[in-house]
Amino acid sequence: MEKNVSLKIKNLVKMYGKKVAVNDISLELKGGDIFGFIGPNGAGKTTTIKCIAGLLDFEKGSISINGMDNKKFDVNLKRSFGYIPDTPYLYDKLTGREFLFFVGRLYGMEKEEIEKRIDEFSKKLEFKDYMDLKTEEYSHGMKQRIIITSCFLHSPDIFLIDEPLVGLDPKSSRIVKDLFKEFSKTNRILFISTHTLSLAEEICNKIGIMDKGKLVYFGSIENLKENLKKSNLEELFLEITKDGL
Amino acid sequence: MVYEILLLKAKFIARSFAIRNFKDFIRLITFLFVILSFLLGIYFVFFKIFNYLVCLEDIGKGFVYRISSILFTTIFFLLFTSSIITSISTFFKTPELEFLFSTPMKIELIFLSKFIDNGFFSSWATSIISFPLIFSLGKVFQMENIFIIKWIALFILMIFISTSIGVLIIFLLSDLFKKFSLTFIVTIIFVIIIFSFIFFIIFVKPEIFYLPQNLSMDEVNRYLSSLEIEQFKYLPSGIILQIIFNDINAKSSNKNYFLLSIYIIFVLVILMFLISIYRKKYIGFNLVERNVKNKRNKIFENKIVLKNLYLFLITKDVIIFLRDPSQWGQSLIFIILLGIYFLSIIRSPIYVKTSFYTYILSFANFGFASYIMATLSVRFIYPLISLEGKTFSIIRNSISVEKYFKSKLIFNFLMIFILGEFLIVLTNIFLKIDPFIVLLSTIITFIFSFGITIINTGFGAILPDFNEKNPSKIASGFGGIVSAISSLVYVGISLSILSSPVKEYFEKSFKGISVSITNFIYHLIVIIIFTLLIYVLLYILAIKRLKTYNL
Repeated sequence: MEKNVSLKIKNLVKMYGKKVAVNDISLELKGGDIFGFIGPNGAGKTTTIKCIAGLLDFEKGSISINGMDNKKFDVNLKRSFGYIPDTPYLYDKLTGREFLFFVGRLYGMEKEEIEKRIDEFSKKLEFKDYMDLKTEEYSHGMKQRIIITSCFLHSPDIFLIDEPLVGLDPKSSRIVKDLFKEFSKTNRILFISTHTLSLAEEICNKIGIMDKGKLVYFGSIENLKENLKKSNLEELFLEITKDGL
Repeated sequence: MVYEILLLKAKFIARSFAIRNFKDFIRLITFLFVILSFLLGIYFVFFKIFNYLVCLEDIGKGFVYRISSILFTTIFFLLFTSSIITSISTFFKTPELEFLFSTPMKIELIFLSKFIDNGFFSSWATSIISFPLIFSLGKVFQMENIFIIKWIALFILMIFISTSIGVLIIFLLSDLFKKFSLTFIVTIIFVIIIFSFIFFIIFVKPEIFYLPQNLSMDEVNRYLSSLEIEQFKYLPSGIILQIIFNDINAKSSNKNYFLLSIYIIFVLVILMFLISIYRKKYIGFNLVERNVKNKRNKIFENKIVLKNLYLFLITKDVIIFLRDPSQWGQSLIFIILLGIYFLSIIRSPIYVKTSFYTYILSFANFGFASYIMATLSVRFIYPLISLEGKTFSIIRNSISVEKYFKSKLIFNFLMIFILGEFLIVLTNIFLKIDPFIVLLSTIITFIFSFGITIINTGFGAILPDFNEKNPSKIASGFGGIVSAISSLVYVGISLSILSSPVKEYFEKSFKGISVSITNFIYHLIVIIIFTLLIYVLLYILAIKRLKTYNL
């Protein structure tokens, strides 16, 4: 029987002092969804992702991952998702291979399994020749490839990805997009926060538009296009967020 | 898993010292040389002082105890203060935490790894003074090596206790971050530390050295026995020092071990409590500065600032410093050090007026003031270029590197010079030192400020760390250590050059013989040439390096 992969956010409110960063948002995703989370800078996208990843406390609402409440620390819950922050952290004195081994070990993977996955991803994302260099010597794009691999390494159910294509060349972007599509076919959720509207338009089956802490739209791109009579996502995005511009 | 994290950290350190080419080899050798020279130098100074005091009949051992007690108490307070300041960054701010908390790593392991980091970063600077102190005590009293090892272990225990208490305070205060700005919280921490400092001043009693010459024999005996009574017998520093001196006097320390055990149990309970609340505290922690003032600041638009490039660059550094509350915490440590020093001097009556005593006193004062200038420079001047980070490439591409470097030199020199003169003149007034020596100290401070500035600004440019944003971590890195030790070696060499004419001056003036200043001038010229050589060498190297960075 297929696992019931789900992410449910209900009336989430996050405040920074008196400022409301995320204002009462609710959404629900299930296995197979690629969700594009878009919105202007400062709209609350990164805050929402951090709340889902259990890195920020929130004032109201609830978040459940595969039916488990994320307010409680649970190893199984942590293993069920992979998180790529907007400014990824790498130990600069470790090589790419060592970092991936370290991450694999944190997720309880066996040595052989880690090796196999590193080999697979190093070919896919074309970093094989750089794997044994210290990460401090990497370009931004190369660091991004290692971080993406570290997130995919343990095959989580849910991917939380903040700006995945920053620093990647067109070829790598293509590979990463294909990787996302491939993973979504295997009953997983990809939660992608991005400013690259073409990415959302190309691979996402659902989108959410955040503006000033509110989720002003949640649904399919097609529905939105039909409702607002616009032909592409950029026009839709500008239309919805025009008050803030 | 914690072993893997620790192994990882060990790997980072080992890789920083990895020898891949001849340049790395020279770098490592230089590093080891400066570190060893520094440790041996400190050991030698303590050994000489204690050895001299121990030879004084009746009074010597008591004085060694009293000096050690003041040092141990100061060290404990510094460890505690430093732990409070580093905890904010280590337990809540470092980007590694976001990564670790997003993985299934257990909270207790994350906490332990950060606790070890915090212990190291908050204590390394104090430890490099403390270890030679402990070794010198052992050697002066001819103790077996096993005792010295035991005392080092006890000192590490003291670091453990002080770090834990410091972390506890930050955890308790961390909830305030939800409601108040960072500036407010840092102010609260300042107040706590200032109260600790007042407590220290009230109880440490430097006037214990006061020995009026018209006391009866009974009073003298009472005074002598009071020297070995610990003022802070219930503080970890006091307990550990009593154990050390009980070992020296071959006495039992059962009561002290009992007290220490209570501390350890207390600290372990604290740690368990902190582990249980760590995740909640971390995810609730928030360092967003809630300053709602959205007022335009026109300082960069000021015509005078805009017109003069040097002033413009200096203004930028001042603004950044004043807007970073984490910098103030570090400043506070130095303010406390200065405060302790001033108060010790004000409260120490000067009764003995032999030429040897005045010579020692004026030199010790000058040495300490120079030490403060050197340590301050490492913490605040050395990291300045590194703190430019990636934006350094903008500076390098837009203005002349020479002008940029000179602006740093001018600003840094003024900071150190003003502080140095203030310290030297004020303490000399309290110590009632000869006006000629006061004048000489003023000139020497000018030269030292120049030398210390070029060493720290120079190494800041030659060995920067553009990737690190935390100034205390930059200062505790390889370049910072080289810079610190080079400054101290520079001060040490210059003071040695100056020691013979100063000694001659005091001896002659004590005997009423007129003193020629020619000898002083010759020695001063040697120091000036020595300083200029350092300036030329470091200036050339710094400019060369600044032009080659590819960020």
